[in-house]
Amino acid sequence: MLLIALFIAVILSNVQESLAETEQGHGAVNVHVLYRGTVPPPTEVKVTRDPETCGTTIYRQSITVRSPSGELKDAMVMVEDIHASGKEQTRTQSMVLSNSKCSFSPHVMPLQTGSTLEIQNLDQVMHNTHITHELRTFINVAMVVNGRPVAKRVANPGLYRVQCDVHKFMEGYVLASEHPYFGVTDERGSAKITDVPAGEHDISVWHERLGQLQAHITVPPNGEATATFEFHEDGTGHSRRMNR
Amino acid sequence: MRCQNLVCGLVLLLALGTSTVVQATKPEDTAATRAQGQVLFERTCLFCHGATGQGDGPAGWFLGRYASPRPRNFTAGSFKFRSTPSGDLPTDQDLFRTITKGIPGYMPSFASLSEAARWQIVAYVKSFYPGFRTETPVPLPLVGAPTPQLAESLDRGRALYTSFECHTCHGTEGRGDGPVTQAGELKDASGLQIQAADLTRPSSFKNGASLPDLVRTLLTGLDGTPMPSYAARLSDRETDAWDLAQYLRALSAESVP
Repeated sequence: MLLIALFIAVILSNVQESLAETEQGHGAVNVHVLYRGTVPPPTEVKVTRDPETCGTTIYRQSITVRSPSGELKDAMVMVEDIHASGKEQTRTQSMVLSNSKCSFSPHVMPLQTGSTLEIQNLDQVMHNTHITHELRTFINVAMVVNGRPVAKRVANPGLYRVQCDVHKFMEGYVLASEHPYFGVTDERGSAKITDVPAGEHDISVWHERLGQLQAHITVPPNGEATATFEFHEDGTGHSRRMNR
Repeated sequence: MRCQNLVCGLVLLLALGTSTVVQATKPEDTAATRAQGQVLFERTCLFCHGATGQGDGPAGWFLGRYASPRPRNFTAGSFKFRSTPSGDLPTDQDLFRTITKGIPGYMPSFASLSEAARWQIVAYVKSFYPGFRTETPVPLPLVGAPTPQLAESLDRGRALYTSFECHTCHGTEGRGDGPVTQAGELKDASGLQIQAADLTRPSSFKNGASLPDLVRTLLTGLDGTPMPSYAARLSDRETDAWDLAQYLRALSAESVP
């Protein structure tokens, strides 16, 4: 009898939890990222290897801005203070990182831990894709011409740096999140994160040259929160936020 | 069938050849084992690897503060000498092998310690990095065996040396003077300039110079350095790795055990 009562209590408790989550609801976060200042001229790098594929000169531009509005591309956006409950829709999948025309494509890639990173070489020269996570090697593989892709599961959250030891001008970044609430800004400096649990959250934006900005937002149930981040030329920045 | 027996025999011989690192006396990885390992570590390893295992021991200053390679930082979880895929942690046997054999030119062999003592040090070294408690390193299999027809093997190995662009770092004649090396572009994980190995001097190979050692290095790469893993490519044909290893050995006139 006691066991039956305990069983019913556990069921009721789970139902209450589910109801609470449903009542809490979910919303979306719209992020706009802007750069205010003069865009530095691209750095000219003389190519000493494989000019037939890589060209003789590389112009590295690490800040991609749409003028005149200043909308910043390739900024990675993430909800900070949230943990995967195991009940949300995951975004674990196979993500392809290409060595293409002596650059990494995509240049920045957010993904959820548990995803598989599939590395491929589309060039007719050898690359060696060398990815590090903090001080630890994640993978360092020779990508020979016409070789098959190499896949590895990303288990740990954090920022991964992607390099090619043969072509030092090649670099990229992978940001691994424990939860599915992340995005990357497009050519219009925009990113949208959907199905975020309603409530107060910290949201951060990271850019490879401009650093990190953070804002506190409130996501309304079935509504949208908007956060606008501004990076400044002098290394400072600020954010505005709005709920609808 | 005869050919298969020959391959099996060679694999067995190779396995026996690496039996200097057997784990007959390996103790359980307990708090007591780690405590015994700590005593030994502080007596023998601390001077280079530091009290907290960060590779910052006092002797490190005399090794060249800004020269590569630095003593291993065990807290970073990145290990050069493994039998496991690139980026994975080493197996216990890998750590035991490095302690036993040392690293030519850099770290002495600690074969004079008892096997039990070396295993205790392995247990303590692993305690510096929490990943050892959650990850299970699995060695890559050393498939295949050397081809008995040496001339054919060397021809294939030479072709692989070219198609894998080993000359980019190691040079056309394997002297460690490839264009990327000469340009000073090779860096280790600390950003320190690093030299490609001179393949004509196998006695200086840090990860060993026997054929199985070379095959293992080609498959795993050397984490923390620009030397990548060729495992994905070398799994196409079982003899490829052995052919390339034969060719690397042939680059030198040194007598290699």
